Amino acid sequence: MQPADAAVEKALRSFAAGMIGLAAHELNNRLAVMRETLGLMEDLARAGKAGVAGTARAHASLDDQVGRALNIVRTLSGLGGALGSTGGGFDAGATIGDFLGLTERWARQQSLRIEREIASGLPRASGDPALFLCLTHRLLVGCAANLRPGGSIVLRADCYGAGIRLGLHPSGERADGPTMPGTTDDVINRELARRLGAELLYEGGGAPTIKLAAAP
Amino acid sequence: MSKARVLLVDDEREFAATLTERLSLRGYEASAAFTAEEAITAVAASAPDVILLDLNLPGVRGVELLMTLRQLLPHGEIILLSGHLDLAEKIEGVRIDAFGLLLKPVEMAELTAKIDAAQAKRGTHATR
Repeated sequence: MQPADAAVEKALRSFAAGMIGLAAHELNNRLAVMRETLGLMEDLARAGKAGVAGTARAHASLDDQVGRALNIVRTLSGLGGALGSTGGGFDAGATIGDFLGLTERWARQQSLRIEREIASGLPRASGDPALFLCLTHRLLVGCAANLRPGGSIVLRADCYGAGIRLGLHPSGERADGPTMPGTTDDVINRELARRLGAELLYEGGGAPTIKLAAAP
Repeated sequence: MSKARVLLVDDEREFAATLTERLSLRGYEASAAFTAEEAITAVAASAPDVILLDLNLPGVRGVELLMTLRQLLPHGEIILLSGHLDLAEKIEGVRIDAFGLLLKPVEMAELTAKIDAAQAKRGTHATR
């Protein structure tokens, strides 16, 4: 295996492990709330303190938690579908949406706001969605490392010629972190872009942009 | 041995509020903090016997918070309680002498046994 192959393989494995970890974390938290809510209902019933209002509140909470858990499962399923697809291109907008659904907790921990602006009518993108997501994730983490808490990053996808352009636009107070261009990380990013058949640019202020070709 | 005074530190407000109520029903003097700042204020003000700490709070490195709380509460016990603990956090938790690591969702019997064991350890130290 060439050094570049090993680095890309490691990046892909690390990305997949990170996404699974985020999903497991979020599901564990939803299950924990459900378990405690059910436990409290039982505790109150045993103590003869269960009231109609409390029971209704508990039911509403359980319903909410089940809905949130289902969203995670659907997101994970969508992401799994994208990562498992072979050929035929992929829906970049939906893939970004699923990806961001799983990174919400990470963004909260970083005290960052992540928003998306996905143009309608994007063509299907060519290339391997696993490479695309891994690259997007690495660029997002790179942008976050350069921002202090309270900042925001907008992921903006629009049509660019016949293809798709995804820009990551950070705003907020800059941290004294590393900048992506020229770093070892960026060597791997450029290799991911090359294998994806995409162009990786750093535009005004160092905002990374991925230019993807449309699927044939 | 009296029941422990427990501070639960977790940004999952619904989880923290519900678990606090359940612990109170079991005789613990339980309270909750939802942010790192609230946790530091609560520990400085009331020096709980046992802290249940989620390391994944927004805007702060969990390990740094753990070290700060450990300094503020040298004779208290800290139990890590999280939906996910990575290896680095586990190693750091052991290094900083966390009393235990529990993964959510946790069984109440397991949790109260851990809290009681932590309180017993504090009692042992106090009588030395």
